[in-house]
Amino acid sequence: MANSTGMNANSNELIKGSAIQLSNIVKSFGSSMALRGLSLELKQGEIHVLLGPNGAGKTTAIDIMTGTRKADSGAVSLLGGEPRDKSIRMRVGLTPQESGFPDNLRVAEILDLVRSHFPEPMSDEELFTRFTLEKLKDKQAGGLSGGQKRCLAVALAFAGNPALIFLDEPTTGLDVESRQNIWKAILEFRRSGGTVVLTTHYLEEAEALASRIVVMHQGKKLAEGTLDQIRDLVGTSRVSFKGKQPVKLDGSTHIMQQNGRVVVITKDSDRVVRSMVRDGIKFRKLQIRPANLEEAFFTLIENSQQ
Amino acid sequence: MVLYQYFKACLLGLTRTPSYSLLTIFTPSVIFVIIGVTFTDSRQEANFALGSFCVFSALGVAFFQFGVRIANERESPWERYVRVLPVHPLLRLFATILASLVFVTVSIVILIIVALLITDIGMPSSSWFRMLLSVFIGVFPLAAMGLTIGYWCSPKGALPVANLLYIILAFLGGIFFHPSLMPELMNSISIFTPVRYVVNLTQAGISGKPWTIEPFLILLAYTILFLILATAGYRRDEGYKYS
Repeated sequence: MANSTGMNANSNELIKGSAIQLSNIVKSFGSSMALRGLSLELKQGEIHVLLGPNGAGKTTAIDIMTGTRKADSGAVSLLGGEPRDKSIRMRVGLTPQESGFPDNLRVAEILDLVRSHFPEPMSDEELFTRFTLEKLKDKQAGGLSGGQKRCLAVALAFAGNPALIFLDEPTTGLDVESRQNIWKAILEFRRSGGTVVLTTHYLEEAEALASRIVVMHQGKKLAEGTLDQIRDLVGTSRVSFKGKQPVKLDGSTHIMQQNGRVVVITKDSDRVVRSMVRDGIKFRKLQIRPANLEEAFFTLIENSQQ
Repeated sequence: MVLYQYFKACLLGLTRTPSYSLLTIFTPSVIFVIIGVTFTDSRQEANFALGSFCVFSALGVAFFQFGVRIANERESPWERYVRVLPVHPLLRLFATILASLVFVTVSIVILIIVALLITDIGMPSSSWFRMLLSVFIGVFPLAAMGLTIGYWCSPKGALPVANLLYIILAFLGGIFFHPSLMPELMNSISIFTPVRYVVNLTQAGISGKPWTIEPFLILLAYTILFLILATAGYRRDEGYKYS
């Protein structure tokens, strides 16, 4: 008896461990390689954000996790099983890409169709209110705006009450209110024990939601950790000032213009300031603060290329 | 229930864009009007022609409304999404066949009204029943063929393939003229086509001859064969082809 309980606890632990495991995934499209040996382990109960520039392989990675595409080589484990296994899919929520829906089906009809696949789906009312679809339920999908389609697409991922949800750029093109609603739904989902994997272009979104971050670049994992760990990992600061943009600065990893200010991303802000003084660069209103995620990101990529 | 939801979605999608469906539904009636005027000499000849044209309706719905449409929508983001939902392909295929039964029924009702107006058809109610039953049974293998076209042909290739098979099968199956008028060679090919089996069933039904079990078994075999092919096509599609 005691033994079997122990076993149970053990296997629970195992299941609780990782939601997704990718090992050494390679995927190419024609002559271009989207993933070059990607290995990842995503734990349960976290909001994992995949970050990376366009073409880093984020969407391909998600497609492989969900079984939408098959890897050329490497192994995938989704919730301890095969991504295409029906019993696994019952526990996974997805959004359609490009928010494509059959034009002449109504919002409520589309939700009903998707809900019917799952044993304990979320109720219509809950979906309507959580994703601001109440007023749209009788509208045909062809008549929805881009933002409304996004909301519906995200609602579909939640419709089946799954254990794991994939969201590929869930709030692209959404107004502030809808975005806040979706963020709320995502955070609530995690509080109830759910796991989320999402990609986003908005760093604000990553900073608001992520409990774990995977930084991808050129089809590989560049770094992985919590928001703070990623920041610390690169330990970058942001030096900004008004003035003319210098071509080169000693100790800088990235120099750019932002809102009429010159922004310098660096691992050593003291060195940058010293070299600015030494080079006789004219600056006003100097500011130094820790870099945000996006800025930290430049450093990571820069480092990997050196 | 998933089956009902797919059936409903399929019907709603088609009925809300009626222009798409009207052509397939009316084509058999229009051709019947053109050819039908020649069926004046014998009532039984008109009855047979009606039975054959009902099969023609089923063939058109199966090939164009479902086969070609499926091929066209296969690469859409929505289809790609639905393919990763937890549902067995056969369940989806079956829902589509049920939806095609509805469209075949509508097409046949129009056809019968037209036939009653312009020809001298008439048969005992048992013959009506057996004729319609034959057609509804025939919908299964024919719809399964349509699904096979849909899941194996490219969006561009589906229409010509469906057109070609539609014409060939209609002629070979003995829809436009009584199979007894076929040349020997044509007849020897014809007897193997699923359309011919269905046409034969309708004619036996209309003329009151008893049915044998054999054609039913063969139609069942055709249904299973094409469902296996369509499922294989669907599976082949499961996100693997598009890169």
